[in-house]
Amino acid sequence: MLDINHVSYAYDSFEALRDVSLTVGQGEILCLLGPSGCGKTTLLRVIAGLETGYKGQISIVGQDLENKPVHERDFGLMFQDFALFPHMTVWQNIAYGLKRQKLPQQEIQNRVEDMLGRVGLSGLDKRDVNLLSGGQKQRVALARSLAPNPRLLMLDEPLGSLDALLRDQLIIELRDIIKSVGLTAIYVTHDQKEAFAIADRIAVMNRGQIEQVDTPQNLYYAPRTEFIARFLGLSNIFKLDSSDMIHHRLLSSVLADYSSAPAVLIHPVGIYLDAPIDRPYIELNGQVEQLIFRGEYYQTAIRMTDGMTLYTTTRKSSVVIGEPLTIFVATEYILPLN
Amino acid sequence: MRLPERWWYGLYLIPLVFLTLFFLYPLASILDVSLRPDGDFEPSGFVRLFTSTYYAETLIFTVYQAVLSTALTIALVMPSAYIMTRYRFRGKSLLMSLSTLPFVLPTVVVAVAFMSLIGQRGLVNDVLKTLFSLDYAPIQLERTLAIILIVHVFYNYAVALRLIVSYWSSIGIETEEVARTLGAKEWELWRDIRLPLLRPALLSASALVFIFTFTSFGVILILGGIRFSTLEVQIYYQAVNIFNLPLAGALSLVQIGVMFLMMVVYTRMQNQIQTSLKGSKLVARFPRNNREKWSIRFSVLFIIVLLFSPLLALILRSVSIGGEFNLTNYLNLTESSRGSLLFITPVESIWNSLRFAGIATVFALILGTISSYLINYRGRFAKVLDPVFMLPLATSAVTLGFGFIIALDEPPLNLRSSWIIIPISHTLVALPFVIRSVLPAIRAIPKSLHEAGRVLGAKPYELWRTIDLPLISRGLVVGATFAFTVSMGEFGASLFVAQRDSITMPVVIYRLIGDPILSSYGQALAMSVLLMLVCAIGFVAIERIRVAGVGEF
Repeated sequence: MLDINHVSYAYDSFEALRDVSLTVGQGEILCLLGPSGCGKTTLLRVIAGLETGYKGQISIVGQDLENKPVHERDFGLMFQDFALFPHMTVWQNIAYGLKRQKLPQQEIQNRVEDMLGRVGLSGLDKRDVNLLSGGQKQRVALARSLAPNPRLLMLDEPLGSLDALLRDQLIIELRDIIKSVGLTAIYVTHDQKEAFAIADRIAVMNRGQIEQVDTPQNLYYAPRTEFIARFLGLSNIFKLDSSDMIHHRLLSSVLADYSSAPAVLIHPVGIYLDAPIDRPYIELNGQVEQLIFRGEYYQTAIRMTDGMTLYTTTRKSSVVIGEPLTIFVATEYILPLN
Repeated sequence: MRLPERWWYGLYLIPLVFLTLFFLYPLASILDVSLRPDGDFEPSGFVRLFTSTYYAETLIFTVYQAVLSTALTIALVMPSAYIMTRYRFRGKSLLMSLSTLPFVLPTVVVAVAFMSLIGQRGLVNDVLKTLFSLDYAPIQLERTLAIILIVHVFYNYAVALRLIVSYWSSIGIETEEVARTLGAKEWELWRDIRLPLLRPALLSASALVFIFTFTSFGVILILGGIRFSTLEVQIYYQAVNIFNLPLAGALSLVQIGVMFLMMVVYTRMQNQIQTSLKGSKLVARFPRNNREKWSIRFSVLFIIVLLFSPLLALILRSVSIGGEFNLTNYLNLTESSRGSLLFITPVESIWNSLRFAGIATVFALILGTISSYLINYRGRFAKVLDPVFMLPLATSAVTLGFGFIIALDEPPLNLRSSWIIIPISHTLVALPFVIRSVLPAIRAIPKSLHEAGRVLGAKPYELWRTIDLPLISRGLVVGATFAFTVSMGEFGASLFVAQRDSITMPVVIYRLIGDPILSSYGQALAMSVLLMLVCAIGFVAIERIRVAGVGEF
């Protein structure tokens, strides 16, 4: 539905987007995930038309967007600090886009009521927006962007200024509302938990480029680059430099083409304390170096005989600091990284 | 000598006694002369004021020109404010700080500068005459409302610009962007988002410009002539030329009333702005296309032409006679023109000005610093006094001068014939500037520093000398510089209180341009340039020394 072809964009002299291509399907929630400064917000703003003068092509249902002014695009936009119009009531905020469409008064009234109901704010229409709580503001902002029935909804860290508890609750609500309306949405965030919870697909961005576009599950179990693995908090990453010969031998037994990859990831879900019966594995010997209590589990550091350190999670009862330990790594979870 | 600690509070009496003697007492005298001219209740001044259409017209004109000036200033500021808020470009901060220069320029100098640019004998007329071989001056702006409005815009442009830009920069751009995605066109953005969000800054800037133009005196006296008389000019005429003191008193009271009301509006809006400032967000960016680049260029050019063409014209005029480079105007300053109305030579008035400004600076600095501590001191007592220190701001220099001549000309306080009355009046005019420079510095001193100092054994005076003084020294220097330049340029009060041999530079310039002799006009130009230079040096010092936000109006 939305097609982004080889888009590059420079702020003043800083290259914010470098040859980005991406497709978003009808009714899909696509998440742009990455650290601050990676270009995700810039990409959103370029799509919205708030930044002009990009190279490449952006089109929606086959129609080129280049010379289409922002106010004629029929897109919805939500910001981190909600950007509610502080001089208007809840009702006036939600009705703003409808009034720009010159809809009849009665229809505006009905639509605003409908939206208020959908986001659970019925009866608050005359309220001063400055007096609302953070969660309520977020709902008003959502209702305001949904009211004119946008072709595409864009959300820029819409939960970023709320506390963690509220965030967990609202993200589910947000997904339900977007899905119930059948909207196509682009959701920008730096928080992987948020991205996993809301997205159909995630595009991970780094330094102005998209590194991988995948479902949350594929992304987590099979990250394609070192940057993504680190960003998702997967820490068993080993650089394949020539100084580490034992290490090499170990990995070459399972990876035919390892020499082309600069690093490998041993995914924590593939590390076992008992040999798995249903899949190929390799055996590694080491010593328990560190055991940190994390509540549900212990974070365990194991120093291998060849000098490298592996991190995994265990239950306390099974391991003791300083004791030797044998672990089993499923070969399918030894992943080459680019 | 060891003083008990509480004795230091005795210092607070100094500004209180000063304000009572030289501010409240003259104010009371104005009230007295307008309501009881001969000792009995007899509000003849007020009766004349409200029954005669002439004075009602004066009041209406005063409001009318102030409203027009305000509207015109804000309208002309808005495009530049938008550009200054939204775009970054080289030299922007320099331009912003240069644009404040008019604020410290004396009204008399500015009036003369505009005369030399677009006046009858001005530069533009001369150029047009030669270009098109005309034998008359094509631009006839002297003694019109137009030239008054132009000068008022010149004066208030930067004040309004700074206020609006600093507020606008603190408002994020997101609301606007959301509105655009919701379908708002450019003009709808102005109507629905920008102007409503800027309301506090617009009201505050308008109130300030209104205050300044409502009390405009020198500009209207010199450029408007008798046709356009405002309350200020009328007070001066009634008191000095016609000697109708009850009427002048009644006019002064109306003036003070309106001013106080506007001050309240301004202060309210300022507080609203302070509380809603969320800290500056980065909304400015470099221009991206030619349209943006050209609008920046146009805006910069507009500001430069508005602010510097009159000053440049003044300098050019002062060093040329009949189109040739000539310093006669300056050399002539040591002597009075034949048949001149002056009793001293222009050079002597320079000495007067410097002397009085020096004394006023010392006075204002001492009083302003103690007053700042008094305002900063949290107590019921200080709260009551707060408005007392605000009042001088709401009182125009002309009203002050008028109050001085009717209150201080008889025992118990007869200073009418003493020159000291001039620096005292300047002190009152400069006091708010000093307080505005010093008070923020005092407020910024953390209380814990005093506590630490006391624990380490510092006595009250040592505490002040070793902790406060170094921390407020910048504020003191800025305040002193403000006081000096304000005193150098003070016109309204000086016109009332200065005696024949104690007149100051602005008064001399005013007398010289009223003189029909051509060489006197030349002297006025030279004097104006000198006065402008003194104030410009002061301005540069202020801009260099002040920390952001200090001494801002």
